[in-house]
Amino acid sequence: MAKEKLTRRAFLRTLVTAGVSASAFSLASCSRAKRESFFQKHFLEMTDPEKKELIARLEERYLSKYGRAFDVSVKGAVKGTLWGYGLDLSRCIGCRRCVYACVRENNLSRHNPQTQWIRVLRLKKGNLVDLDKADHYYNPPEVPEPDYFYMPVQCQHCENPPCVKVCPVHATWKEPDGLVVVDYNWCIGCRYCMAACPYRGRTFNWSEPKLEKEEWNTEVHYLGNRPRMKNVVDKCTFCVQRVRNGRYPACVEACPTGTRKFGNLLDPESEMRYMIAHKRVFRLKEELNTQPKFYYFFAE
Amino acid sequence: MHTDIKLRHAPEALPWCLACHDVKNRDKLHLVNGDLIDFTESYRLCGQCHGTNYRDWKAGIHGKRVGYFSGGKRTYYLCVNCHNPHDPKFKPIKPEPPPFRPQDKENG
Repeated sequence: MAKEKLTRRAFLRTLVTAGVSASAFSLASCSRAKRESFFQKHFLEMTDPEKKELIARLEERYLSKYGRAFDVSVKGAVKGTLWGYGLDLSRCIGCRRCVYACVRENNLSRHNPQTQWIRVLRLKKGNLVDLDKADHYYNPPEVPEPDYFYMPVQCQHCENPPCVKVCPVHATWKEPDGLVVVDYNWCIGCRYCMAACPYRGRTFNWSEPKLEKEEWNTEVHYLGNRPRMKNVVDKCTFCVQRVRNGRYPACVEACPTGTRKFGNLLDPESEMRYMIAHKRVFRLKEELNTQPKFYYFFAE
Repeated sequence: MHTDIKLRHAPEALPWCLACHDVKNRDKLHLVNGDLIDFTESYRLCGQCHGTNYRDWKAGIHGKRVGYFSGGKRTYYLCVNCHNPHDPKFKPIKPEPPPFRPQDKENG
């Protein structure tokens, strides 16, 4: 009996044939929507009819999955806008109202895991440079505390974003209105962007977001607060679903002390331009040449 | 009811109610020059002393604006929407809970 010798070539041929037929079989057996989402194009390469189909597919899926009627938007950047953010360090009292307004608006997971896009740092007064000594787990009975000041940090929407540079699949990019966004369908979850971000501005979805049915915000944007999948990276988008419709971000509206400012940097009449021209302004870690569009300032 | 109001607002400049409220028309406030204004215009009264804040507020840097900055209704918060005019200093408040630590069971 001659022993059949399996050559490397024959082995590979069998493997490839088996692989192709298996994937063809599984794709043929799955639903049309699943097949389409598997072959979905990159968001920036989609045509308008394809985006319409995408919206219909997502709305149907969210309805069956979460039992709520979602309104998915793919609205593009408004012409002549470059969004900028201002945060008045002389007013922030560290109450974290912004953190939870953001969580509610952007459908962030409430527990197991908890994800938050805003991190409020507490620093000793007179110690703005030593961010290593910052604490974001502070929990006194009342804020502000006399010896401390507070510095909320979130995505800085850099003009020169290091997170975009390192993405191996171009799942994240800077939009024409300056927002740095993620296509969750394209993200492979490698977390290079999280390692590259000097502001810890990105979060990873260790599981699907855990929300009660009535907690979902159903006004969503494809590049923003739509329900995320497991194993994708997300981040603050300056509430893309709101600002592209002319509405202030949720954190701006939630702040009880008026610390947070938002506006169009290209509009000479905007509050942002007044703030930059008249107040003491700095941007976080300017030496890294990330050129954030998030301005910290002191009104007093 | 009015006796509950304790004035803690610049006692040298505004020693009593009628420094701001008009004596004859109680539905109005009066400026230093004697002009009567509505309560909806109270920022003009505040701006008489707090000029720098008034300037910043008009530019949108002090205070708060909510709603739509374009294509909808925008609401400007007035001074008195945040500051109690009789006791304007902000009181400390309880912060929202801190985030879970990585080792917490709610974050597993």
